[in-house]
Order: sequence, then structure tokens, then C-alpha cells
Amino acid sequence: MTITRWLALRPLLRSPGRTLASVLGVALGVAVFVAIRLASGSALAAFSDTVDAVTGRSNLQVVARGDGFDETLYTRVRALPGVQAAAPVVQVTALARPGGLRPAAAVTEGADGGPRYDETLLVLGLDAFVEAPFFRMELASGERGKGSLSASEGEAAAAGLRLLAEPRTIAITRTLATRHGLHVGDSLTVLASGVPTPMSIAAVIESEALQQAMGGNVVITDIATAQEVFGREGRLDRVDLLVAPERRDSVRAELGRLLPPTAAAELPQGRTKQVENMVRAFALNLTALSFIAVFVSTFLIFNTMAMSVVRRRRDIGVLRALGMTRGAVARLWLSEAAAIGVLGSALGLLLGTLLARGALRVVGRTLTDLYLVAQTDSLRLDPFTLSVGAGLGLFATLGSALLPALEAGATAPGATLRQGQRIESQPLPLKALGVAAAVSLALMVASALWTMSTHIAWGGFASAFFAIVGFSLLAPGATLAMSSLAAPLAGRLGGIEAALGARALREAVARASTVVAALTVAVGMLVALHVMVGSFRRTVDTWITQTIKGDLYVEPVGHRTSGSATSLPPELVQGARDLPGVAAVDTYRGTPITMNGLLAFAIGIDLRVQRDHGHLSFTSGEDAHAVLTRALESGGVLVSESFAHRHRVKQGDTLTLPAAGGAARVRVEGVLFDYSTDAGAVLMDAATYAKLWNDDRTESLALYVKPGANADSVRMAFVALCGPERLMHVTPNAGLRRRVLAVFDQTFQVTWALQGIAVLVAVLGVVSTLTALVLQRGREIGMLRANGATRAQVRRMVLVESGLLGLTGSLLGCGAGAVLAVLLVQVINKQFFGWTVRFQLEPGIMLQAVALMVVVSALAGLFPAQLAAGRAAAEAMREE
Amino acid sequence: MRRVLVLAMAMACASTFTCGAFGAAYAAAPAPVTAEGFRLAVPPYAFSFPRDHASHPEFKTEWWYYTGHLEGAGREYGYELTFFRVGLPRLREGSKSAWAARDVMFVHLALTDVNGKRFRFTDAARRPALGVAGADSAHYAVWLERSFARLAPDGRTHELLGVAPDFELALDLAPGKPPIAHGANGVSQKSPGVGNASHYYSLTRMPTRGQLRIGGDTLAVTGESWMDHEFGSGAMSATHSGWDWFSVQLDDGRELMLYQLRLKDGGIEPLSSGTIVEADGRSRHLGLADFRIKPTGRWKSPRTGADYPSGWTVELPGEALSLTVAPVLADQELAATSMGGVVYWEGAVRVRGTQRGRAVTGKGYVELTGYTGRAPF
Repeated sequence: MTITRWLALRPLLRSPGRTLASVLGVALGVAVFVAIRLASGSALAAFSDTVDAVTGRSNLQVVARGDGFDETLYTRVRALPGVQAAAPVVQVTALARPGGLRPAAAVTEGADGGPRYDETLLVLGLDAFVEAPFFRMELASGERGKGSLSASEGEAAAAGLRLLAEPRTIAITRTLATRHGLHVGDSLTVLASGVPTPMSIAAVIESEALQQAMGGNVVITDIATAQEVFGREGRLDRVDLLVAPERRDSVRAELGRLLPPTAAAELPQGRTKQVENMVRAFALNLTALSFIAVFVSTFLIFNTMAMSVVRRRRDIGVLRALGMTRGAVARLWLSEAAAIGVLGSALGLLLGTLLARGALRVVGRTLTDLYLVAQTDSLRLDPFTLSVGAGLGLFATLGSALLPALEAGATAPGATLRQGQRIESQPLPLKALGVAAAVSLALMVASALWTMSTHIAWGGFASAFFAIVGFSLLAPGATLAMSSLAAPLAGRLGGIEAALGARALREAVARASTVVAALTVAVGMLVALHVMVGSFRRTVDTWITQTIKGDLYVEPVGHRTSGSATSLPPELVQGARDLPGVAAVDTYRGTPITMNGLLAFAIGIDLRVQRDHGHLSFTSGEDAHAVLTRALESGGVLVSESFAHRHRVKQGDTLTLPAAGGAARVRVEGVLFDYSTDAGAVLMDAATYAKLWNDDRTESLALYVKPGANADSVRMAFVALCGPERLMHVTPNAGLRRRVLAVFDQTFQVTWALQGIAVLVAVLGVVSTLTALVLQRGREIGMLRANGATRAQVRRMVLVESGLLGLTGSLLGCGAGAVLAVLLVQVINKQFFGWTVRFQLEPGIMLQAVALMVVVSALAGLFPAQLAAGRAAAEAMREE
Repeated sequence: MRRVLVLAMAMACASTFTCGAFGAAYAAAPAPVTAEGFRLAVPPYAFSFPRDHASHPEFKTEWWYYTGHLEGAGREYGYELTFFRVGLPRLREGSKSAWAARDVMFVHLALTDVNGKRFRFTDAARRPALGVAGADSAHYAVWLERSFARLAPDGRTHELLGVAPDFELALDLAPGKPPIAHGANGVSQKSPGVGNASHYYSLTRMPTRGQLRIGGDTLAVTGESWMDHEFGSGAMSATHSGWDWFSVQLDDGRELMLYQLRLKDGGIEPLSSGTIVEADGRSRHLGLADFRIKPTGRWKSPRTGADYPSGWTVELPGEALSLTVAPVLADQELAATSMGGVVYWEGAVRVRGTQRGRAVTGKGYVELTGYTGRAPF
């Protein structure tokens, strides 16, 4: 088989440029797939490791659904038969910085050289006396490290005692200690509801698992300290249990009867599952995009292989005449494809791993912003993802080479090049293709309608797939049509050589149309994403501008990190109301809740202030004043559009909320437009919230300034009111809008990178195909030159041909893009997030895409054009 | 004088917070306190019962200590059930957290199976939060998880429950004799210096009945117990290396309590003392000069490497009493697993000897601390 292998590999080496283009195409597709999967996999794995380390050896947990549960539940849970050990946990995420309190802390974080709180810590409040079975509290005094056994045990006991007895003492991981050069006795300052609170380091955590959790950003403190510092007295976030494995189900069932709606019994993997579900939609979209890159590259491989068959028809004929079987010939071509596949996949894995590091940062940041998942910077090379990536590359290559390989095998022994042209001159089964395209597009419409009525999300992706296939199948027809339309026009405008260029498309329609199809998909995706993101961004922008009417938005620094473990003193809220120039103050209090197994948010705001000063907007189109008055009178709630979608509720329905004070039945008084979270929100008046959740605290404020008053001077007055001991973000309306849009844009960074790659793959395809086309038409060009065509004419002919190729692909792509955009906005987005996005086509992006593709294609044709023009007539003719 | 862990905890506190130095500025104040604000044990102190059975949170350390000898279904057992309370430095005053620890509670539970030659031991520590553990200061009740010691509604009977993973002991103890206060003026002085002392009383012979649940069996048991209750805020002197403590119930109705504090230089603390209780309940204080304790053998722990005396002769020349004390089992070592990991030997012993030529027998418990070289106590 050595000779066969050589026969397969030789052509690859002989035309390194084209081989390289194919390899790169495969590599890019594989790289994108691998990068996205590795990045989101690593982000999830880091989260899951953190959960494992923080859970210790617990095999069942009572977990707060929302902002903690009543701590007296602990005594009831631990008394259940079958429970061997029970550990109460207070868990808060907080911003921190190394060092103690500095005098005259700056009021605004980071401003004017104030201290920066750039570490995010997971603070675990534990009861050392019941921790032994969970192996979390392995402490050392840090300094002497490996002393005599007795000395270090004594030190550990002394450190444990200090955590117990002395307020504001903590133990930190070795990782964190090393990073900041911290020692026992030093301080770390955490932000508790914006108040910098210095914590004294009493010990170092020895547990290896915790060194890695949250990247080592774990702090252990006494459970009392955690409650005192973060104002969480009376609340627990978890009770970790160790139960006899054979009784786990019965204990779980028993807990199900015992627990209030604010707590749930979960297996430790449960939390990871929940986050996995949250991240799934996000990762799925990106994976779908990476499949498009692979899809585009299969067109190109098909093309390369098909051309290779045509070009070497004579060789095949010789081989067949020498007795090589059809199967052997087909295998020969497949092994050529396999070589490309292996090279491309290998390169793709390498490139994907590199890209994944960058993607991890971006994906990680997005996950942190959207889902409050801990950031990580360690990439995990998951062997499964790598094998799937490699498999994808090989499968795509071999799959797309299958037809050309069979075609090669079908060559009659002794076939000549003349006969080899058969594949070119054979009329394409246009009718069949047209029917297939129509069927595919019909399936697209059907699955879109099916998704919209059944709410089954993957139908949207099926619909998008049919759209891509359908438009790809239109490519040959479009190419022929373009050729027929353009030839007379080109002839009139650009002379005979332009007409010849246009006609050349028709002659090479089989291969040209695969390039057109590749361009169609790439441009379609570019246009669709642009339209979708653009429509979405405009919708969000309009929403912010119209409904977010507060003049100043106030939250403690670290609020976004600590979430509901944040509260502002009531004096401060009242003080803000009393400030001169303040017309009204809206208060915000929220908690994550779980309904129907899905995460959502229950939020208490001041509906009266919203009614009189805000501009909420409702899907029913009803006047906000009327809706809010109704909600105020009935004690009912408003739900966000995504909540309504996810939980299938509408105005007038009754909801059962899992409130802290017990399940509460409330009426849905309106469905409002809201793009702040895809998890969905239930809004109610602060008074209703306080009653249902036994919680009248305030997390953040919105200040409405009196007409004529200066927002900036109100801001100064408020900052003065807060005093220097509490760090607050005070954001003017415009700043909030900027921030929301910045988060929005960041979310789509990866999307743009992906689409850039798909376009790059398509362009590579154009270059390689055109080069092949021109080289193959050497004889024809030679005849033209022999008949007196000038080099410039030949060059022009090729340029027209390649430009038309680009034009056809991009025009068809614009159509595909418009259709895909509708699917993305109205079907996929709607099913995944439930948001109403006002669809808006952008002719601008279409024009740009067409212009870009025509220019790029023409440029791609330059090199082959030069090549063709440079060929001597005699040399070209000799090929016959 | 018992105990061990408490002192280890107190020492840990001292080193961590440098609170060991007692306030010297109390001068004429009637109730001297430590730098941490704990009340010192100073004379005079008049015990009052049943109030003084209950907890005294104004003192830093306190323990309730039961030992006894039981018989049931033809088998003999020794048991120890002890509750400790250690007051923490008062740094969390005003905290609104139910978990803010003012005290730590410990329980030690040991069972010596005399026939089976087997010693079982379990220990635990908890903070008194949400009712998980605690010591009531109004009515006598101390508890930790399911284990407890308390005064029954009749005001006389001590009810005990000791729960270990492999056995449970539920006992009712009747006060056979009235409480005996050790030392003088209600104060048992441990070393020179104001407040280096405790308030210490014993119930030296308590007829006991109850149940032992072990290995799937429930045995009805009867026997006699000894209760010690001690509270104070002083620390061990830095010159002490440990102590040997003896409680003996003689079959003639008398009881004997002796302890000697060992000095680091090999000598014995001159303030070491004891008490002898007559069959009618009258008691006499014994000074160091009144007794002599001599080890007759040694036992080295394979677990901790500690080298303990094992078997003694005890001479009380004034009483013409001469006793030999033999452990029922060499290995009755308690290696605590809860915070601090204190190691000590506390075991059932058999006593025989002579008084003016007449044979005497009895049972007892011995406690040995400071033999590990691991932690001071």
C-alpha cells in the first residue's frame, strides 16, 4: 500500500497552496468548536470544583432557595433519623482587598486613588465543632508550618479558638496568602454592604481542595462572624449533611415534608446541575455557531476533492487500466481526504486550545456577569471535547470527500482528460436541486411554526439548519442565473473578456456553486447575526431610555458580588428621601427563587414611586399608571416577559410564590418588558415583599430628582450623607445606560469572533477554488492567448468571474441572512429567553457584506488571474 | 480538682489573648475578677444546694464529673461521664448572632468493661447555640447533643444519659451522703496566689441504678457513683507539670479523695491535699503531710507513647491506713479528638489494704495528667 499512499499524498504536496487552504478550513472549524467547548467546559468545571470543595464530604444538603432560611431549621434537620452529621453554613461572596483599614477611605471605589477591591472572596461561615466529618476546617497557624506534631496541633487548636472567640477573624487559603504576601496577624478588608470591614487573619487553611476552589479565593470564618459582618443574623444559607447512604432517599423525602419553601434538599451535584442548565443555553448558541464554521469548511473540502478528481482523471484512468479496482481508487481519494482531515484536525486542536484561553476569559466574564458564576483562568483540556473536535474534523472531511471519491472510482479504465471533463459538462440536476431547496425551506417554516406552538427550543435550531441547507441548494441555480444575466451586461460594459468571464461561471457551475454555497452560508450568518444583535441592542437601548427614569442609581460597592447579602441602613434610605432636590426614592430588594425547577428573581420595589415617576412599559400596551395602581390595590405582582414565557403565565393568572413566610398566592397584574435578566423576574411592591419574605431591608436605591434640581449636586449631597465609612456606587442615568450596553456588547464579543472566522474560511475557499478553476482552464486560456487575447484581457476575464462568484454568493447570503435573522429573533431568542426583540433589517450591513465579498473575491481572483495571464499560449496548449 | 481539657483550653486562651495575667488592680474590691472579667474563687464561699449544682457562667471553667462502678447480669463496669464548660474571652458581647460563643461545652464518656478487659471512650465539643449544648444557670442541667446530666424534678436524683456511637448509659443517681466541700472556707487552693483556686465539692457515694445499652443488649445495672463539681477562674501554675488524683470508696462506708500536683522539678506542690469522709458524712481536710502516694508499676501507652504510673501504694499514717491501688485494666487512656486533642488516663481501680491490722477493700477512680509530653495537660 506504500505506493497507494504515495499516490494519495503526492498531489497534496504538489499543490501545497490549495492543500493548505483545505487544511486551514478544517482547522478553523475544529478550532472554533474546540475553543468554545473547552472554554465553557472549563468555566463549568471550575464552578463544580468550587462547589465540591465548599461542600466537603457532604452527601445531602439543605440549600436556601433565595436569601437564606431561618437558622432554627438546623436543629430540626439534624435531629432527623439517618442524619449522621449536620453542619450549618453561612456563605457570602464579597469583594475584598489585602491590608487593613486606611484612614479617610475614598467614597467612590477606585476614584482618586482610593483603594481597589479587586478580589472576589467566597466567605464560608462554619461551626468548627461539627466540621470534623466534612474535612473543611484543617487549619494551621501558617508561620511555623512543619513544626513538631504537638506544636502544630496546639497551634491549630489555638487558631480555631481565636476564630471562635474573637470577632472579625478569618482563615485564608495558602493560595491567597501567597498571592498577596499575607501572614497570620495581617488583615484583609472585605466590603460588607459597602462598608470596608477589616478582618484579622488568624490561620491558614490547609485543605487542598479549598486551595483550588474559586482560584483559592476562599475564606473561612466562624459562623457567628459571618452573620455579624454581613448582617445575616438568624439566617443560614445551607446545612450540609452526612447521611447513611442507604437512608439518603428516605431522609430526602423526610426533608421534603419538613422544609419551608425557602429551603430545599439537594444532592451536592444539584447546584452544579442548576448552573449547568443556566449555562447550557449560552454554550449551545456558541456551539451552534462553531458548527456553522465546520459546515462552511465542508463545502470547501468537497470542492477541493472534486477538483482533484477532475484534474487527475487521466492518472486515474491509468491506474484503473493497470488493474486497480474501483474501491481501491475510491479509498485512494478518501485517504487523501483523511490526510487533510488529520492535518486539519491536529492543527485545529492546537489552535482551538490556544483560542480557548482567550475565549475562557471572555466566556468567563460573560458567565460572571449573567449568571454570577465564579471566574476562572485555568483551562482544562477535556479529552472528550478534544476527541469530539478531532472526530468532527475527520468526519466532515471524509464525508465531504465521499462523493468525489466515488466519482473517481467510477472512472473507466484508460479514461482520458477529454472524457474527464464529463463531470464539468454534465448538466446539473437543477430541477432536483430546486425541489430539494423548496422542501428544505418548507421544513424550515414548518419546524419554526412547530417550535413556536410547542415551545420546544431545539426546533429553532432545526429550522435554522433547514434554512442553511435550503439556501445552499439554491446556489447552483443562482450561479447559472447570474451567469445568464451577467454575461450580456458584462459584455456590454467590460467587453468580450468580461462576457467570457461571466460565461465561465456557467461552464464550471458544479464547482463554482459550492463556493457560492460556502459564501452564502458565511454571509448569511454575518448578516443574520448583525441584524439580530443590532435589533436586540436597539430594543434594549430603547427600553433603557424609556423605562429607566431614575436620575441617580445607588448601590453599595460589592452589591453585584454579594447580591442579597447586602443591606443599607434604614437611616440612609430615609436620609436620601429627605435630601433637598430629591423628589422620590425607589428602593430595591431582591432574592433568587426557584419556581418549576427554574431560577427566577423575586423583587420588591416601591410601586408608588414607579407609578408616579417611572415609565414601566407593559406588553399589553396598557397605561403603566393603571397597571401599577391595580397592583398596589390588589397586592398583586408584575412579571417580566421572560418570566411569563418560561412559566407560561399571563396577566390575570394567579401565581404561587415560594416566599420565606410560606407559599403565597398572588395575582399577575401585568407583564412588563424587561431585558435585565433572562431568568425572569416577579416584581411587587416593597410592602408586599416585606410581608411575604419577612424582610424589609433595602439593597439599592434609585433617586428621582425634582424638576429644576441639579442631579449632580444631589449626588454630592448623597455622597456626603453616606459618609466616608461606606463605599457606594452612585451612577447617573446616562452611566447606567452605558453600563448596561457595555455588558450587552461584551456578551456578543465571542459571537463576532466566530463570525469573523466563518467569513475567513469562506474567503480561503474562494481563493483556493478560483486558483484551481483557472489552472484547470489552462488550455482554454492558452487558446485565448493564442487567438490574440492580451494579458490584461485574460486578467480581466478572471477578475469578472471571481467578482461575480462573490456577488452571487453574497446576494444569496443576504437572503439567507434575512431569513436566519427572523428565525434568530422571533423563534430561537423567543424560545430561549422569551424576550420581545423589535426586528429591524439593516440594509447597510447587507450592502457592506455584498461589497466586501465582491472585493474579497475579486482580490482572491487576482493571483490566479496573474497566473493565467502569465501562461504562454504554447505551454497551456501542451496540456491537451 | 479535675480536669484537664478545661485547663488546656484556658492555657490556649492565655497564650492567644495574653489574658493569663489576672487583674492586679482589684485591691479591696469584694469580688476580684480576671483580666477577662471572670470571677475568681476566693474565700469565703458558702455552697448552697441545689443552686450550686447548676452552672456558674461568671467563672471561667466549670466541670461536672461522674465516675462509678456498676454491675449487671454478672458483669462489672466502670464509667466516667463528664461535662465541661469553658468561658471564652468576652469579645462578642452585644452580638446578635445566636452562634456567638460565650462558652464551649465538652463531654467525655468512658466505659470500662472489667470482665471483657475493654475500654471504650468518646468525646465531643459544641458551642451552646440553638440548644445543641448548654449549661443552665438556674436549674441544674448540662447537655451536649443527646448526652445530659440534670437534677430530676424531685430535687435529689441526678439523671444521666451518656451517648456513645457503640453504647448508651442511662442512670439515676441518689445522693447517698450530703455534698462535701473540699479545701477550706469553700475554696480549694491549687497554687499560691489569689484566685489560683476553685470552688469544689463532691457527692462521694451515690447509689446508682439504670440501664446500659451495648451491642444490641440492654442491661439493668446497679452500683455506686461519685460526683465532682468544680468551678473557678484560676490557671495552673507554670511550675506544675500535671497531677495524680484518687477517689476511693471503701467498703466500710468511708471515702477518700487525694490529689498531688507534680512540679516540673520533680517535687510535689505543697498545696496538694485531700479529704476523708466518714461513714456518717463528716469530713476532714488532709494536707500533703497527711498522705504518701508511691507508684508500684508503669504502663506505656502504645497509642500516644505516654508513660504512666500504674498501681500505687497509698499511706495515711494519721489514719493508720495503708492501701494498694490496682487498675482493673492497664489501658484506660482517653485520647480526646475534639478541639485541643487532650490525652489523659482515667480509670477504674480496685483497692485493698489494712487499717490497724484489719483488712479493708474498696473501689476507686484514678486520674493521671501530664504524662504525654505532647501537650502540657
